[in-house]
Amino acid sequence: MNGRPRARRLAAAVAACALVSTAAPAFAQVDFSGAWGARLHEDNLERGGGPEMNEFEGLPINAADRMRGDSWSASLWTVPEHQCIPHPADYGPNFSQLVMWSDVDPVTKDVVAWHTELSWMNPVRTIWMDGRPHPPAWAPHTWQGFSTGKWEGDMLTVETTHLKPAYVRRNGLARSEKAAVREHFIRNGDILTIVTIVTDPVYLTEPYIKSRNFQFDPGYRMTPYPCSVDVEIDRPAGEIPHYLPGANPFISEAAAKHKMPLEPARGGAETMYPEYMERMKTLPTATMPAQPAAAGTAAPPASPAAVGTPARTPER
Amino acid sequence: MKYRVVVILAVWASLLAGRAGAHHSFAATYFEDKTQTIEGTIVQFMFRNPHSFVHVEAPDDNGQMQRWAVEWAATAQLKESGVDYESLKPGDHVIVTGNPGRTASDHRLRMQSVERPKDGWKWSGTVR
Amino acid sequence: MKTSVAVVATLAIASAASLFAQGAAPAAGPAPAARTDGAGAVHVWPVQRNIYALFGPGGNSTVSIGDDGVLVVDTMTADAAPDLIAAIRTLSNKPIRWIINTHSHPDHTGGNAVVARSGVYIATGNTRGGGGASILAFENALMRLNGSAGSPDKVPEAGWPTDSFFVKQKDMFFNGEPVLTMHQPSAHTDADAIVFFRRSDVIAAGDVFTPDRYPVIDAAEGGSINGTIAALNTLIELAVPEFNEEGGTMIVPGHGRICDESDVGDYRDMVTIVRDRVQDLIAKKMTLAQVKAARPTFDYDGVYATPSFTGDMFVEAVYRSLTASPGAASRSPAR
Repeated sequence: MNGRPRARRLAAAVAACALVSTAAPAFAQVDFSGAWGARLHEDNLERGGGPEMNEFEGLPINAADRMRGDSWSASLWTVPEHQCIPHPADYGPNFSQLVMWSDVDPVTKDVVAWHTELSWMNPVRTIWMDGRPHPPAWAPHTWQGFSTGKWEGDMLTVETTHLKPAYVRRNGLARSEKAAVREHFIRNGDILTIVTIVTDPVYLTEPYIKSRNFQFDPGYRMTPYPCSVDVEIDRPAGEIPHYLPGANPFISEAAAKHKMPLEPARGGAETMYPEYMERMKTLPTATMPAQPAAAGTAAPPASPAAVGTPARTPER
Repeated sequence: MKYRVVVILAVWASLLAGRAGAHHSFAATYFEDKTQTIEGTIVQFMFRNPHSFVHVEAPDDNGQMQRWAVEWAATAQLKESGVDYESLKPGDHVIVTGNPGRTASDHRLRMQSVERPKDGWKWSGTVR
Repeated sequence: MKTSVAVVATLAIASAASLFAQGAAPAAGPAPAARTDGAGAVHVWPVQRNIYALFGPGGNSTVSIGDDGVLVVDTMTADAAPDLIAAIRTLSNKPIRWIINTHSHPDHTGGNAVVARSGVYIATGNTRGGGGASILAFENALMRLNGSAGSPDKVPEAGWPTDSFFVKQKDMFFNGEPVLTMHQPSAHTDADAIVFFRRSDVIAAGDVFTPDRYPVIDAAEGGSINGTIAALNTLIELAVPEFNEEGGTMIVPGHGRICDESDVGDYRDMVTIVRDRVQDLIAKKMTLAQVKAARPTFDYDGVYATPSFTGDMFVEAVYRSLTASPGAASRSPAR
């Protein structure tokens, strides 16, 4: 028998025990400083090009969030107020290079805060390590929220509140501003794993858990990503793209395209678990929707003249 | 076969590492299995983030002139492929091919290729 | 009560600094103590430059603090007025010189008399006497508060606006900046005004924007859903975010947390989408009961529905507004 695989297994077991241990002293801190390259091997297709329309599988969404997703039109991203939105703290680690650095108290040498910055849109987070409380309910919400961290052994556990409303998936599935996010930052040599747990009392029936890995990349240099708000699509000001209930023509498209049943594509907590695959085998394959006459029409019926309705875009 | 596909995807994933992902999902925004070609005059070229846009006045299938919005890549990706803010100018006559948007009234394409017949300037590629 | 207000104000200022200290090296020292929010206390939060938001049991006020004195947008309820004054006193000892009412409802004007009485009118010569802070409101709000419009908002004279305007906008310069009071026609009511502190870059929105609940449309006082949407779009046109759709122009709503342009955008999207859904069902000749049964707010109820203003109630308000005769219940719009 070749001893090398056995030694590797033993080393891995020891490392795993070390990671699992939570009885380590509070100052067993790990240094996350530096640049980290995103590794997109988990959920790659969603994180890269992006999810398909009405593809909700694997997410613990409720009926209200399903309706948000069914109503959503990708054209909403062209509305000026949506164009320069960065990914929120709970979505950011899905892709982008990551840079982390710390602020150190000059007297005690304690790390007072950790910061992260992502390459896409350059959002910067602060993770306070000094025990300060979270702000009250009436404080502003931000894309990155308000984060505090504490060490659990070698693992940095971060709690984030005060997030702006955002999304759990980039096809209209909403994540509300009432959500709280817990993260675990785990460094294992040159690999950084960020485990994100989203709890949303409005739109999720269970915590939504995902992990993302990064590899230490000392040669990386953060570059600026300035964003400009412009008129991308010429439409009357104030018109908000969306699908009226029952009018979304693409509900079964993703399932049919991938020869899946429709039910799993509608999402829900049960679609997260491996045992659901047995149920899937019993369900019929979805059928491709008929081509809509006016493909993807999302403009609602003309509304009555609004008081003070502004003019069409070019005159703004 | 299934496992070979998984390996290929894993390799592709590591190659993609470091590429900033898009704001929105292209599959949700466009019919990626369709293409459409328009020919007309550039009225605006927005070389910018999160996505550059070329606005082209061109007729639709009914012959009616529309202001088409052709989505292109972010500035970093365009520069990598040899495009900068001076590559196209308002007034240029161009032929554009792309994936049509899912909202027909947007008159929107995702750029696959653009050609300026006057001097033969061309670009083709995949917008990420 | 005064001590608790002062403590809350101090902690709020410390928290506000840490919320936006992105990338800045924090000061060394012990972490702030945990705060407790006493029931009935008015809480203070510094917004930007001269401007502070005050959160009370009935709603929000916005104050401008500076060398010219104190300007207060909305005076909360009558019960909360003493706490409101105490909270202002933790920020400045200068006289309260102006009150601006965003509309006439008692949760925004109930403290008018008490707050005005605690202020001063500084002038000489043949000008308005009687002391007390001046109170500015759009003319329709004055008419409701003084009873000439037959509204339940009527109050004793001490709470009436001393100054009013009936055109689109009333400007003043106070504490080093332009203060624009801008009428929003037929929105929450037909008496709405938003107050734009132009250099501080803060807007006090009143009840045209209430991010913690569905927008209440007071049809009896000339409110309308399309006017509400127009007012939200006006807020968006005025606001300019600092970076990545965040910060920059800050908006203090009539109720709810401090917001910026993207928050107003999300709210505007919701209101517009619900309006569109109800409009579509009306076009299909559905009755109010049928529209309600279709649950056009189902996907937003978890965020915005409250026990006192449910999704059904909002749907009914939208339905009635869209099916009302044009100009019903509204006084003459501003010129």
